[in-house]
Order: sequence, then structure tokens, then C-alpha cells
Amino acid sequence: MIGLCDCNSFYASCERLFRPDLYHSPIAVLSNNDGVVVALNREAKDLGFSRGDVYAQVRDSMERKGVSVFSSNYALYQNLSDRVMSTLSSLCPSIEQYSIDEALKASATFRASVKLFPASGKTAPDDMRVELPALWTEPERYMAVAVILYKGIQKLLDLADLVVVEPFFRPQIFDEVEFFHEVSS
Amino acid sequence: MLEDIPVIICGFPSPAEDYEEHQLDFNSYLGTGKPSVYALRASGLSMIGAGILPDDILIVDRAIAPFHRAIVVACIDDEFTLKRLLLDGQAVLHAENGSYPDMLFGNLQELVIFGVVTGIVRKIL
Repeated sequence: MIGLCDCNSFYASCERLFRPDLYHSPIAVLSNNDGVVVALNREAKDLGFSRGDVYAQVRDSMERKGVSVFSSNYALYQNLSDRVMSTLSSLCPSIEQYSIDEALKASATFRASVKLFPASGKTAPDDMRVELPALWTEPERYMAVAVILYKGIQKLLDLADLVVVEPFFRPQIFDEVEFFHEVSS
Repeated sequence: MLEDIPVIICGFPSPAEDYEEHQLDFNSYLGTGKPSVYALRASGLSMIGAGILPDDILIVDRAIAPFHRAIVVACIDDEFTLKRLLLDGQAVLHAENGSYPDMLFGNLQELVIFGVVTGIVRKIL
């Protein structure tokens, strides 16, 4: 069994942690040198902004709509990412982190060696989501960073442009996530 | 190379060796290595009666559920505030300083609590 754990609007969630005035506000985070928008929380997405927007082109509109805009603070994101990964590691025995806000969960019996490369910014479809086991709300309690779990290794691999370099890897065995409750749809 | 080979001292072993103790580790004492623990700086005088002075560093644990008489960091009017939480039928944020009034809430759910204070750190030099 295997699953992918993804943090919701990770950079935006980080910026909000110590800012109670922004707990329900739209937030955008910019790339280095404030070039483009690299992260948005749900409230900002609902206003029509997207990842990849050129900041110079959306600056006025963001200001008008009351979006709080942050230059990226990677020291903060890395600190909180370490906290999330350490919390997830305490919840399940085998985790492979492959980007700042994504981790791969595998069971103790999962022996194949999988080499993972960062996702290309695609979002997994909702039908791959699985209900979060009770304890997995700890990242939200500890870091105010909510996580989503996805199942279905082959789909996840396609989605994330992951490259598997292990001849003994047999994805069909791991295509079920018994550990997680299915989401009834 | 030769200099990488470990050195064995042939003399009498130190009689103090068995009594070696660990160095003081304030991270483990304060719990600051835990993922749920944060350090915030206090300002204001509302908790002076609890021994918390302006500029003290607060050790705050988000893994601890708020409980009666805990000192908590709460979110009030879009700001963090440090108060003692009283849960006695209703939820009260109580300042440890007579010149600040209590803040009353119907129950704990009406409050947003950032975390529970587990310690304070203060340097005096």
C-alpha cells in the first residue's frame, strides 16, 4: 500500500501560522525577486488568481481585492516542512519525502526502491483522495498545515512524472491503500 | 592513512569515566525540538502576576489541548494574546494583572487557541 501526502497551499499556510489576522484572508506568495505567484490559498484562488500569474500584471487587482502578498520566506517554509515530515514520520513507519510539501507513504512491507522526482505542479483529481485517518490531522493541529492523502500508485506516478528505477517494483501490488478508509462518493 | 588509525591509550582508564553525565540539554528540557513546539516573544504586562515579563520567550506547544488554568496564546480581534484560560461552565481569558478585565466566552469553541504555554525563557544579561 502506498499513498501520496500533499500539504494544502503549503507556502500560504506557512505565512498564515503566526498571523491570526489572516486566518480567513486571501494570501499569495511570490517567487524569488517577486516575479510570479507561486502559491495561493483557497481564498485567493476563489478570487480568480492562479499559480504562475505574473505579479506585475496582477498587483493592482490583488491590492483591490485585498489579497495579502508575501515575498517567499524559504527559511520559514523549510522549518515548517521539517515539522510536517517529522510528524508524518511519527505516524507511519516509512515515508519518503520528495518535495517540500509532499511525502510518499509506504507500508513496512513495501520493499521496492522508488526514486522520485518532484511533481510538475499538477494537481491530483479528487477521486484519488482518501479520507484522512484520525491521527493524520496532527500536521493541521501542530503546524496549521492541513494535508491531503491520495492513493493509487500508478496514477500517482503518472501524475507526478515520477520515474521508477527498480526492476522489482510491481505497481499492481500496491495499487490498493488498505490502510486508509475509502472516501464514499 | 596512518593518522586515521584509532589511538588506544595503554594507561590506566580514567576512574571518572563511569560517572560521566550528559551535558545540560535545554532543547530536551523545554521540548523545543518537538514539531508542535514554537517560541514566541511576550509583550505587555497583562501576565505579570504569573511571572511573565515583557520580552520573555514563551515556549508554546500546539499538541496540548487547552485545559482549565492553562496559560494559552489565544487569537482575539485578529491578534495573539496571552492569558490564563479558565473553564468553569464558560470559557474565560483571565489576565494575571488586576487592571485588565476578564474576557468571557460561551464555551471553548468560540475561542481560537494557538497553543498552550509550557515554559518561559528569560536572559538577564
